[in-house]
Amino acid sequence: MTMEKQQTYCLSEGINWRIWQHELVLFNPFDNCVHLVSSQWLRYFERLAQEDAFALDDFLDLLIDESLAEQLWQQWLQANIIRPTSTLSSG
Amino acid sequence: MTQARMLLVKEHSNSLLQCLRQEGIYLYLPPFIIRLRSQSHDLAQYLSLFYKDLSFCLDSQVVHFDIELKAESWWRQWLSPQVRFYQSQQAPFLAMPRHHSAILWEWGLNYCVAAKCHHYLTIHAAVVLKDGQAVVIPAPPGSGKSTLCALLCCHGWQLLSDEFALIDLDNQRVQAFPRPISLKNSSIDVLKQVVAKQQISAQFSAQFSGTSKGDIQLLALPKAVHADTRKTYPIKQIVYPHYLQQPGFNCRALSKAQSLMQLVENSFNFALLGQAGFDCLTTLVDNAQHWVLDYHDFNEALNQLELQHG
Repeated sequence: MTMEKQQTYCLSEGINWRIWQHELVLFNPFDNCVHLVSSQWLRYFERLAQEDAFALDDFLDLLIDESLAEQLWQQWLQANIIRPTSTLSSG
Repeated sequence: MTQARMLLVKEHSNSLLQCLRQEGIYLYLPPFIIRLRSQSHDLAQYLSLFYKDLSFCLDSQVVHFDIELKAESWWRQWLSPQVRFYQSQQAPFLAMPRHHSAILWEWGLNYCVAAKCHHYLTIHAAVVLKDGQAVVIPAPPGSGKSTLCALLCCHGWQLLSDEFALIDLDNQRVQAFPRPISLKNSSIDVLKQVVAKQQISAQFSAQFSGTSKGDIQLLALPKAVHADTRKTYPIKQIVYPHYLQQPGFNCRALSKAQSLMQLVENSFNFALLGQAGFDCLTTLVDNAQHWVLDYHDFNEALNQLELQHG
């Protein structure tokens, strides 16, 4: 994994979503962008929404496939769906 | 406060140029009021023919857009007369030849609506109407949406717009905004044949050659083909057309999520409206049917649209 494991993250505020059958559309008010993803990600998304902050390890615990988890993680970071809660620790 | 005296364009075509040259006219082009000033004889003539059923007044009004078409500097007039479009004294485009004034007005007005009109969710789309329910046809430039829109309007559908779906943020209904349809290149001859065959009293402008979009002619459909501009309409279908160069036909349902993504892609102001835009689109998408329509023969497309709309 290339991510800093001590860093904590949170979901961006005010994210809204709609699910239609197997497709999930996320709306991020941070940049007013929409993202179309598989609806299977909703349970991870809802799980993370319950936390004030979470580390990458918490996220990995949710998924069996680590490479898929990293891919999703990177995708959400780039889309501003998740963001670091503070500056990186010296770790 | 006295009420403004409304004048019909077609009853004042002789004095229109003089009015445009002085303080300008306040043109009622629902849902907008536009102040328009111009020295251009070409534009005055175009308005008197292609906007003849609209009203205007000469008394000062609060307007949505303040537009002026101004001649370029005097020395330029000797080389090649050109005009430039101004909106609230800002010039968003390069100047165009003076005889292209009508096109400059149409494109400039499109710019104003796309850039300034945020009390609607604006989508780049043609919109047609049948039985009181609208079909929105979103598509990028060059995809043939104006051609399909014009053809539909020659076959019993009514025109809301060939350029904009103006969607009410509160009730997701679409506002009628009918104007002349901009036809490009090969679609001009197609429509001329259809208009003649269907015996429609439509009017074609002069051809504007060598524009950035190729050859253009504007098509004004008779008033009866225009949807009532005092009303808004529910959206029944959203259709994504794709004209096939070779014979073929395919119509398939599109998922609501994918349709929403395409509507966002074709929206001028979704990113500005934010949550209100998302709420509007999700409700709109929930209540409409969504299709991708690949066609070569217009009659097949027409039959399919009428079947789905029935």
